[in-house]
Amino acid sequence: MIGIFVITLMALVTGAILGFAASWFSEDEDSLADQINQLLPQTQCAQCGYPGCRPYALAVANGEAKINQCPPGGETGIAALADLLGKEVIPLNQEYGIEKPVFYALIREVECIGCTLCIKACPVDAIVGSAKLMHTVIQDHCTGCELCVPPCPVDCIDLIPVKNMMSGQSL
Amino acid sequence: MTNQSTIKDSIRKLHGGVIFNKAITPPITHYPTPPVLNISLIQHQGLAGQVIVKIGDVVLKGQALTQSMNLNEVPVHASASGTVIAISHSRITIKTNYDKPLEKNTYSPQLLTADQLSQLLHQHGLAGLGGAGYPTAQKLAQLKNHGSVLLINAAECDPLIHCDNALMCDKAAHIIEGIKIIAESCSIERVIIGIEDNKPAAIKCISTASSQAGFNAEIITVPSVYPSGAEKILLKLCGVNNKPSTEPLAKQGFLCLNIATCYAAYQALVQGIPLISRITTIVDAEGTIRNFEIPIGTPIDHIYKTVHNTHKLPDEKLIEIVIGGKMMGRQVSLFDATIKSTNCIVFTPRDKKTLQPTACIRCGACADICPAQLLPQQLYTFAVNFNATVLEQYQLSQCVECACCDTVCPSHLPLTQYFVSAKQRVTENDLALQQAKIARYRFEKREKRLASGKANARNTSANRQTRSPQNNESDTTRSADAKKALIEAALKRKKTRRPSKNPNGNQSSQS
Repeated sequence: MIGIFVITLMALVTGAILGFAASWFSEDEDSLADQINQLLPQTQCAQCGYPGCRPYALAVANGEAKINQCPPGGETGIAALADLLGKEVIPLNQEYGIEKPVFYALIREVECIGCTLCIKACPVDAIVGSAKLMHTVIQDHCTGCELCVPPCPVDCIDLIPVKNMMSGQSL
Repeated sequence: MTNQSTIKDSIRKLHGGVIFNKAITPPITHYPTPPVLNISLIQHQGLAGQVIVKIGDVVLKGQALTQSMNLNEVPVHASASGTVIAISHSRITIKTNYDKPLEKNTYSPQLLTADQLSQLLHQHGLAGLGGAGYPTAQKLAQLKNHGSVLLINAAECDPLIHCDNALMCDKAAHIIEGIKIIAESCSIERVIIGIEDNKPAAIKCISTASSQAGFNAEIITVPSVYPSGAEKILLKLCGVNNKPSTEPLAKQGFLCLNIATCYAAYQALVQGIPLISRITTIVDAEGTIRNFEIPIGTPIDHIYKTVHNTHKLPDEKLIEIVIGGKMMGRQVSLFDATIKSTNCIVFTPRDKKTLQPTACIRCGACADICPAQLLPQQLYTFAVNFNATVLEQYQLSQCVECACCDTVCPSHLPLTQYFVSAKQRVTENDLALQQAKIARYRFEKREKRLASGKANARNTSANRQTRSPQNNESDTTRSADAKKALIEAALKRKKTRRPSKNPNGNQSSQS
């Protein structure tokens, strides 16, 4: 009788410990989104339909978005996401765009009228300038998202392919 | 501290490697000044400096053609007096029609600080003369302050290169002087000179010279097995403890300099001569090996004509020109020119049969011969199916690119080529990850700022509404209209190109 009692008690205690441990050490949604965000190229181009890489990562983590909506990440990015999430590798959804070489934006400074629209559009604050004064792109911080191009009223922003420093080829 | 240099045998044996016979010391022959010099702007690992000459300028021998403050943009100098006839994005062409010999200044250098030394070597255009061409000044700048070891690389292990051997026999006293200045300025106490044991004459010259100069250096004879002259391998052979690390050797406290670089340092610091010529081994089509002191920027076709005593240029389909030795060399064309790191030029009749690579049979011969004790067959698999993490586990960064594995591979796989490109891809990946990290940080900061800005705007608009309730039309549309008007005004201003005389523009900007 005492044996049954002890074993039942032990089972209950262990069960309780395991139950709490599961809830305490569980992988929460946030950390999964973070892991996905680590794999995204951080171009912040919003081509996926979300306003940046982190919102897209959240959507993928919640199962709202598919893993094939990131054109800058391309095939390698999809493969990495599929590997993390244990999903099948699917081709890039062409509706969201196609894989292109890496660009950086360059403002033709003589033509700039200083409207500040591109500064507002830049997701990584890589454009400096002030109202009615010339703007310029900090090349090292430009991700080539192309978001500054449509708002420009004088079309003075060029996209220039980034050259590989060692081989001289575009990436 | 005894003022006596010691000669020791290396304690450790080299794993694998290829053994070649070579015991000749061709004397250094004078080379005539070529009629035209093509001086490359980038002769080192790094970027080009700023060109400071114009087409038509008369330049004197030893005059700087480029300059820069950055240590990775090593300046280049005119190797002979003449007129600049062309400047392209990659090189400067000088017609050597103006004869003026270089004026030698002899300074007796006082004790320099490490920074002064680094600056002086940079101004005199020093880049590693061993083959890789790493800027010497940058190496010195990376060196940590205390307890560093200076390793002088005098083991030119490639079977066809003999230039350092000849230099050591000829200029031992100057080399030792150069080493002494570098060691004293960087306050390095332990100096090791690693020489291969098949160069007894060079060992004798160097040890005598260092004894005479009262300089105590450890001279370590290393087995004459290729690639004992790769700096990581030489460090191991000389018994210096170094752990596998991806950091540059200078940052780990090992300053590895080629012996020819030390001679160039002597010339720069004592005689004031910038790096404008170097000893180069030339192997002609008949297989004769000769050493020449060649001005940097000499076109390869001129060298071909001089060593073969001919005026006719060969058919490039029939002759193969390799720069950098038999093992690590790369092919060039007749229209290239020599650079600072050109230690050897080999002209060979081109073999017709080229062996086609076949699949890896996993025989393991490459692992037996690898002097860095890596597993080339595994590296090959993961270089083809690129996987940066696994490649790092197999220590790709420790590969010295010696091409020993290529020579034994029964499938004739160009393994080293795969490793070189895989290394480059790893660096590019790292760079992309770093950039993504910065972009993520900036994006998150911006989101935060926008969120706080919105909160502020809500507060102020709420205040305004309480103050003037009759005036709460669509606030946002009005401000958007004003903005549009502003932009249009600016556009008009731009079109008319009359600054602020347009009444429209003035009105709308005031409104």
